[in-house]
Parts: sequence; structure tokens; C-alpha cells
Amino acid sequence: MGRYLGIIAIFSIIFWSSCGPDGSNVLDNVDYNPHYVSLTINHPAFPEVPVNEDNPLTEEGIALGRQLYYDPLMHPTGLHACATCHQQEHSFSSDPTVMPHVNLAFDQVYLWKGDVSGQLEDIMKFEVEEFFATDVARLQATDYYPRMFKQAFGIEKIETKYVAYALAQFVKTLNSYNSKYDQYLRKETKLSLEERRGEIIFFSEIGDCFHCHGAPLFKDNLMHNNGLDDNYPNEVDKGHYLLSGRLEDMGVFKTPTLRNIALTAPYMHDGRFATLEDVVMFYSYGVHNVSNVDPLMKQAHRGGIALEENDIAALVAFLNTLTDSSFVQNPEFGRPVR
Amino acid sequence: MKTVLHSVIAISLLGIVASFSACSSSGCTNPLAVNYDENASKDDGSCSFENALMLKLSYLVDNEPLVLNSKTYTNAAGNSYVIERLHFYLSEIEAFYANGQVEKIADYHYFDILDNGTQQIKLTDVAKGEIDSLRFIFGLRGALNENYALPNTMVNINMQWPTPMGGGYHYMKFEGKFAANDATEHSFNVHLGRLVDDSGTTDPSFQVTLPLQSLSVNDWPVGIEVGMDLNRWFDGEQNYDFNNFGEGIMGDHKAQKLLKANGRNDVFKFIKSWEDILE
Ligand code: HEC
Ligand code: HEC
Repeated sequence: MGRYLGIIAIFSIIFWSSCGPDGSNVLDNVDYNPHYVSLTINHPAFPEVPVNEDNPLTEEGIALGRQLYYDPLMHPTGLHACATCHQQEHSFSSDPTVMPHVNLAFDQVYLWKGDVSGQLEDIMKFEVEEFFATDVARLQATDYYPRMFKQAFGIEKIETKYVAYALAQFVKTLNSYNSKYDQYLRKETKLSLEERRGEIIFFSEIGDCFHCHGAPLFKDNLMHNNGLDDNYPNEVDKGHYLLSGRLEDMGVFKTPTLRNIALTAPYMHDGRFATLEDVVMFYSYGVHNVSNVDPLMKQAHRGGIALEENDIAALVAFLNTLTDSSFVQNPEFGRPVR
Repeated sequence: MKTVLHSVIAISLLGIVASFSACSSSGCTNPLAVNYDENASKDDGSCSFENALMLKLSYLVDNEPLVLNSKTYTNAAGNSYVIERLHFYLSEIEAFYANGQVEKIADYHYFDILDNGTQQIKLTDVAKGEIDSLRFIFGLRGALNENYALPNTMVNINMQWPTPMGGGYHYMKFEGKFAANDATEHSFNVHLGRLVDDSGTTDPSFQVTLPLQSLSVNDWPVGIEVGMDLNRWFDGEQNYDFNNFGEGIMGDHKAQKLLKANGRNDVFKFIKSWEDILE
């Protein structure tokens, strides 16, 4: 019932604004009466979605964020939107080094090298102001954004801060917790013997993946050197060192999530591995025992965890259970129809 | 003339700014005070106190303050090692009074050597009287050591002990590198927790009781400092040789038992208590 009233209310606002008397500010007739939303994540192990007092989630803010995310007007060239590179069918990533947007609400460090830290609002500000250099005048000139910003934030003059806030609200809703593995934990489905062998490898010191890619987020919010390189001829491989200048940060990168990992090939900060088999081969035999390799890379001294062929296949089979098709098909996350 | 005037203005502006910032950074700088101001850098004598108890952990190697990363230590088995990280839980932390009264300081507490904010626990409005001992559990027991028993913060999530090995939480993650017998550098991961597998259950948690020279709580905060001597994990009951236990020991009952035996022996010690904030 309340929902219908809401829809009626929205319709009457649209009706009203188009019929405003000549000369008056059309936005005067747009109500700022946001509908607050609290996200519930139905998973016993998930952290609570952090609340930013300055940017509480609202239906209007989320809808605006989604609109912006898919809108090429965000870019000064008008040629790409966030969604051009962050594609839903690939867990909001794409080739070759684009990072996915999945359960990002819980992070505190962003980008491969950890360039930005803070809340989601902070990285979104960086994306809008530095990476895209969004020209808010273009948004202001449309016939829909001024209304949407007023409804979401009560402002009439669009600012980059609120563009970032709206994007943050939308991205906070992009949560994945319904993979085959989650269903197995809820006893709704079974894993094959091979997948269960992979689970044991992942969550024990045989494979020892969980110390950095632990459940339920399959990331730890920290940065590590996982032994990808032994000397660093390419700048891109130097990682956090490029920002801090400290040798202990050489080759140190943000731990990426392994949720939906089957959908985000190729792998690592430079996309050097085409398949998950390649990745597991690396962790088995290709790890470099550099002086600052993370101590959690326990088998670095012998090149890695040395899995045999069957176990490599089992670990890959387990990684494939982390795919959440309901997430990549969720119509609420797709291109909005305005 | 004009430039002189300019510099006079500039200097007086500077003066104003300087005196301003000096003002804004003075306040009560004592963390035990009720009006402690963490932004204050200069104490203005405004601190006011109540009966509070502060428990502070400090980290040692052979009684010397721990130096992370750069200092090489040697254990009783002759292994050279450097320490990079240390995280652990203490639980059921209680102060025992001479009159038999018991004050609970915390149900559990997470310590991370890289996060200064986790190094102390402050309890206000603590019972008055003579405290003569401190008792706690190293690790977590019972209902606290079930899956998701602790709030799902990133810190607790990163301490989870995987379900296939028994579930609950790591009691301790103590990590670094050692010079192995094969002349290369290996990682060591001294990870303790309740191990459950086909061959049984090993629970390396243990209770520690530390007698104090009696400490009296009145209208004044008091503090207790407890030290964890990291090299004591590796001797006592039996020497722990990194070469014998490999790099990870989460699935190794023998290693868990040995470290527990060494740990309960003398890893934790009472360092000092103080009744006077000026020490
Ligand atoms: C041209 C492709 C492209 C477009 C368009 C793009 N991104 Fe990205 N995005 C990337 C790449 C590549 C990375 C990783 C870059 C790095 O780490 O240096 C990334 C990383 C991120 C991250 C960090 C994720 C993490 O886990 O730390 C966020 C957040 C993000 N992008 C948001 C956005 C937003 C918001 C937009 C639209 C305003 C956008 N991106 C548009 C390619 C793109
Ligand atoms: C010491 C922490 C650590 C451990 C242990 C660890 N990883 Fe990683 N993992 C990382 C980091 C950091 C990266 C990103 C490295 C980079 O791109 O330079 C990464 C990247 C990956 C990627 C690529 C993700 C992407 O989006 O491109 C996969 C897949 C992966 N790890 C799987 C595993 C598996 C399987 C294991 C166990 C065999 C494992 N990891 C153990 C830290 C770790």
C-alpha cells in the first residue's frame, strides 16, 4: 500500500513539474522527501553494511546512482560510463585489469595499488573528480538530473560530491552472497566430491588461500606481496611502492575478492593469467621467495604449495562455486529504464 | 614603508595563527582521565579522574622491548628469526580483590601489535579496594569460540579459524621469517586455535593468573602492565624448532600442544602497576 502511495506521489510530482506556471523554478515543485533504506544481507557471516551518517541510503539516492553509473554523460567525452568497463555480466569488471564492484561496501583500501583509502564515498569522489573529471554542467543541463538530485539530496545545484555520494549508494547495493557455495553452506545444494576437496584445500594449510581470501568476502581488506615477481622491471608490478617509496611495499597489492572469480578473467593487476588453472599453477610452482613476500605465503621458499594435477583441478572447481548468477542477472543492478 | 607594513601584518598574522593553534592543541593529555582529549598535544592541567582501571599490554623478546621487522632474534633451538605481525585474543579478563570481589575487565579483547588503539583496555567505575591478582584466558573458550560468535567486523573475520579445521577463531597469529637449515629464508606462522580433525581435538587456550603487589583502587585511576615475551613461546617445556614444524601448524596437534605448554609456562608476566598517573 505504502509503495503504491509512493508511486502515486512520484507520478504526481512529475505531473506537477511539467505543469508549473511559466517563469517559476521547476525544481520548486520537486519534493525532497527521501525514502530511507536499510540493506539486510541474509548471510550469517557478513559484516554489517557500514553507514555513512552524511550519506544515508535512500531509494532516490540509489536510483540516481544507478542512472549515473550507466550514463556516458558522466565522462567529458560523453563516450563512456562506469558500466562501459564495469559490466554486470562480469561481476562489474571486464578485461583486462578492471576491478569488479562486488561487496565493495566493506572495503577500506581501493585500487590495485591501494591509491585511495577510506569509505566508499572517498573512492567514488576520486573516480568522479580525478579519473572521469565529470563535468556537472552537463548533468545540470538535462531535464532529469536536476530533479533526481533534488529528490535524493535536496540540492538544486549539482556538485561532484553528490555525484560521488549517489554512486556510492548504488554500489553499496551490489552485494553478492548467493553463490553455489553460499547455497551449500545453507544446505540448499550439494557440492561434488571434487568441489569439496577444493574447499578443504582452500580452507586448510594445503592451499592456504583463506588467510588472505577468507570467507565470507573472500578478501581481507589488506594488501600483500603474493610473490608474483622477483625483480620488478615493469613499473606496474611495483604496486604500493610507487605510492609510498618504501621497499617493503614493493610488489604489494590489494587482495582482490574471489567472489565471481570465474567471471573476471584474466587475472592479477596486469591480467597476466588467462585462466584460474594458470593462477593455481602460479600459487603451486611459480611463487618468488622475495624478501618482502608475505609471511602468509608459507611455501614461497619452495616455489609454492606444489599441488598435484588432481588437486589443481579440485581447487579450480571450488573457485567456480563462488559464482553468483543471481547477482549478475539481478535486474535491479542493470541498465535503468528511465 | 609599504613592505615593512606588509611584513608587520604578516608577522602579527603568523603570531595569531601560532597562538591559535597552540590553544587548540592543549587540553587533557592523560588517557586515564574522564576528559581525555586525544587531539590535545599540551596538557593544560584540566584532567579530572575517577576510579578507573587500565590494562596495558607490552611486547618483549627476552625482556627487551620488541623491535619489528629489522631485528633478528634467536630462540632456544638456535633459529634466527624476525617478527612481522602479531594478533591475538585474551578473554575472561578479571581483576581479583583481596576481599574476594571480582571485577570483569573484558569478556574478550583483540590485540594487534600494529594497531596502538588495541593495546589497552580501560574500565571505568571499577570497584574500590585492593586488587591482588589478574586472571585471563589466552584465546577464546566456549560460546565465544563458535563460528560468528564475535561481531562480524573485518578484524574478527580475518581471525576466523576455518570450519574444516574446527571453526571459531585463531587465538593468535604470530608471523615472520626464519633462517632455515636449508640456508634459505622461510616464513613461520605460529597460528594457534582449537584444532578438530579425525585424530581428535587440541585446544591450546590456557588460563593465566598473575599476582600483583597489591594495588589499591580509590578515587584515582590505576594501571596494570602485562608483558608478552615472544621468545618464551619457543622454550620452557620443550624447545620449538621452526625447522621441525614446517611453516604452518594449524593442522598439527603436536605443535599446538607444545606451544600451549610453553605459553602457559611464562609467556605472560606482570610488569608493573601504577597508582599514580605520574608513575
Ligand atoms: C575505461 C575503463 C573504466 C571505466 C570507464 C571506469 N573504470 Fe573503474 N576501474 C577501472 C580499472 C582499470 C580499475 C583498476 C585501476 C587501478 O587499480 O589502478 C578500476 C577500479 C575501480 C574501483 C576500485 C575498486 C576496488 O576494488 O578497489 C572503483 C571503485 C571504480 N573503478 C569505480 C568506477 C566508477 C564509479 C566509474 C564511473 C565514474 C568507473 N570506475 C569507470 C576501469 C574503469
Ligand atoms: C598473502 C595473501 C594471499 C594468499 C595466501 C593468496 N592470495 Fe590470491 N591474491 C593475493 C593478492 C594480493 C592478489 C593480487 C595480486 C596482484 O594482482 O598483484 C591475489 C590475486 C589472486 C587472484 C586473481 C584475482 C583477480 O581478480 O585478478 C586469484 C584468482 C587468487 N589470488 C587466488 C588465490 C588462491 C587460489 C590462493 C590459494 C592457493 C591464494 N590466492 C592465496 C593475496 C593472496
